[in-house]
Amino acid sequence: MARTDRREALLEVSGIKVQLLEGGAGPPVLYLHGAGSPGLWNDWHDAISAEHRLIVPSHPGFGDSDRPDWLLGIDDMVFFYLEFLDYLKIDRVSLVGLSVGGWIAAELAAIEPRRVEKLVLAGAAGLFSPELPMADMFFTAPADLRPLLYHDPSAIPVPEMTPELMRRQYKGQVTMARIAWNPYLHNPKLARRLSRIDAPTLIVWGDSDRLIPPGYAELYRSHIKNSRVRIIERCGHNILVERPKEFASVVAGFLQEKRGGDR
Amino acid sequence: MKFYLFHLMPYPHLNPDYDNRPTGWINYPNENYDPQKGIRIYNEYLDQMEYAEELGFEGICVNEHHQTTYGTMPAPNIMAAALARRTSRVQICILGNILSLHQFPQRVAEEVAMLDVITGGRIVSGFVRGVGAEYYSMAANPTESRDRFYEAHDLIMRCWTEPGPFECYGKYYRFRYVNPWPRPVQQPHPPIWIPSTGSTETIDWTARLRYTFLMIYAPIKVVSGFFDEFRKRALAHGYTSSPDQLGWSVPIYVAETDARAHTEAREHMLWLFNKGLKNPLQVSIPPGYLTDESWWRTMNRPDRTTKFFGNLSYEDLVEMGYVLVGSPDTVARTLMERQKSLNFGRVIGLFQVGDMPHKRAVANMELFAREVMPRVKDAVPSAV
Repeated sequence: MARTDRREALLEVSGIKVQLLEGGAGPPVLYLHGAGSPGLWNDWHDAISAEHRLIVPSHPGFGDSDRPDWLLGIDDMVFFYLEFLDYLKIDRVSLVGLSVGGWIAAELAAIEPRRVEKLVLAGAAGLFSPELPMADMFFTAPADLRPLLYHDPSAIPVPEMTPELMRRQYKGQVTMARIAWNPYLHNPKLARRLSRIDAPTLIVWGDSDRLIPPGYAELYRSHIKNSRVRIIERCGHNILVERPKEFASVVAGFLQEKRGGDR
Repeated sequence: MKFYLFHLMPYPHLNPDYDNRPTGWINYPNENYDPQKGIRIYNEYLDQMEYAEELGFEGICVNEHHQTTYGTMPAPNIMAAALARRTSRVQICILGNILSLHQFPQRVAEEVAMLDVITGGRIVSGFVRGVGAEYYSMAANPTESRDRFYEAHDLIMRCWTEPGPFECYGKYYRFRYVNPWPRPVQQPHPPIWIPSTGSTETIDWTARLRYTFLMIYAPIKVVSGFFDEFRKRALAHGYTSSPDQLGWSVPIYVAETDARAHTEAREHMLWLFNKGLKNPLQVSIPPGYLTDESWWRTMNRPDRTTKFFGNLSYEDLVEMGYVLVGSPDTVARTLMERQKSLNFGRVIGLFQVGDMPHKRAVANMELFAREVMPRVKDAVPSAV
């Protein structure tokens, strides 16, 4: 249903080209993708766009979106997305972010809490605790990455490695290195700022996330006042690809809850 | 032709499980470094470098690498200092300081100037970006590597050539008071050499600034192509480059006969390339270390050794010209032939290679200095 409704565009925002997928109608939801899946639209997106206007940009420096010289840190991503929402004339939005997208969502909600209706952080980067060591996505050999991303890598098809895909992957890796090489996948200032978030927040994690361990779900919960945790079983870091339907029902249920009803 | 002795100061005593590890860099546990063995190793290596002066080499060369068995010289300026007062004639070439890892590039300007003053102007200052592994070891952002290199270089050159105090406001380096003491003896500054694996950007930059370009670890065909490219870039920048602006850096082993040289060199050459330099792709080229375009060119270079370091055979190394091994006659002839076809003015030879023991390294140096160097020097007069 929603699949036929999907729109694609190449926008010009903040002086750069931005790849956008969009589908559905209703209250706006901005989906912020993980490093490995710009431009992906799957069953999850179909399900969410059934009741919402689902906005799925590729971050600057990923997919077909330009990587501008000014993109040097996670804060640049956040300010880009504030300008992106202005461009779309959207004042308040629900944010769903996976991995690095979750980090951007958490930072944005902390900087501009008034613009966030609801917040979903899935396997989100952004925090750091020495008790919760993260795998090094840069140092890991490509062949060893899949076990970090999936509970059962054998169940996930391996994409065919075309030159085009290789170039896109390298482009995304370079952008990741720009914003997340050191400090690695986190912002030491974020934890303190999270207390500013007042949107109802759902923290979703795969129980077998071997990149950013599930202990970070509880760490996020401890810093965000109106938040709760939902663990998805037999699921790795890439929840969107490994459990799209379960992830959709969890998120759709949360988005439908009345604000204030679940405090 | 001018001859230089280059040293890496490798740590040769590897743990038995070494070959099962993806790399001897970054996280090969340092409990495998035995400081008691280190005493002997460092001092033998320094003895070799000092002996090079007596043997008639033009210069001796140190370099910088971190957290690796491949080379135990994390602070090249310290080794240069150790050599400074034990030598009196040779140039001491620092090849080089890894500029992109420095938070305060003035420190490089200061240290090199100190060395230049102590030695009365015998310092050659090399600048490098370091290999990919360095960016893991020091958690330095590889995406900033090239821009930091250029900016640090510009600041160091200002330190040496512009009266201080001055102010510096770059993207990465911002200083209100730049006024380093001492200033170098050599004016306007010590010679600048740029060791490189040959990225297009580096070749053009080095040619534009009229520095000396050194090719390291490449098949001779690739070296030849990059030297041609350097000369072309120099012409494009409005001048004809001198052969002295081109140096070929190569591991060399000489023994009485070809057969004996190959028998003795084999294990050490293999140690260097397959143990010392063994690194997986994501370590050799961390994201952003190369521009998107350079990365793509590297991945698709037809002349690229499709085999990465770590699985080259000894025959590959010899046939492709990564190394130079043979009797004095063979090595001298090969050097003269290569010089004639590639037209370079400096040979930067690695004579202690990999796990080569002291005695063998010294015999190699002596034979080369006695039998090869004079022949090649006579046949190829220096450009300047």
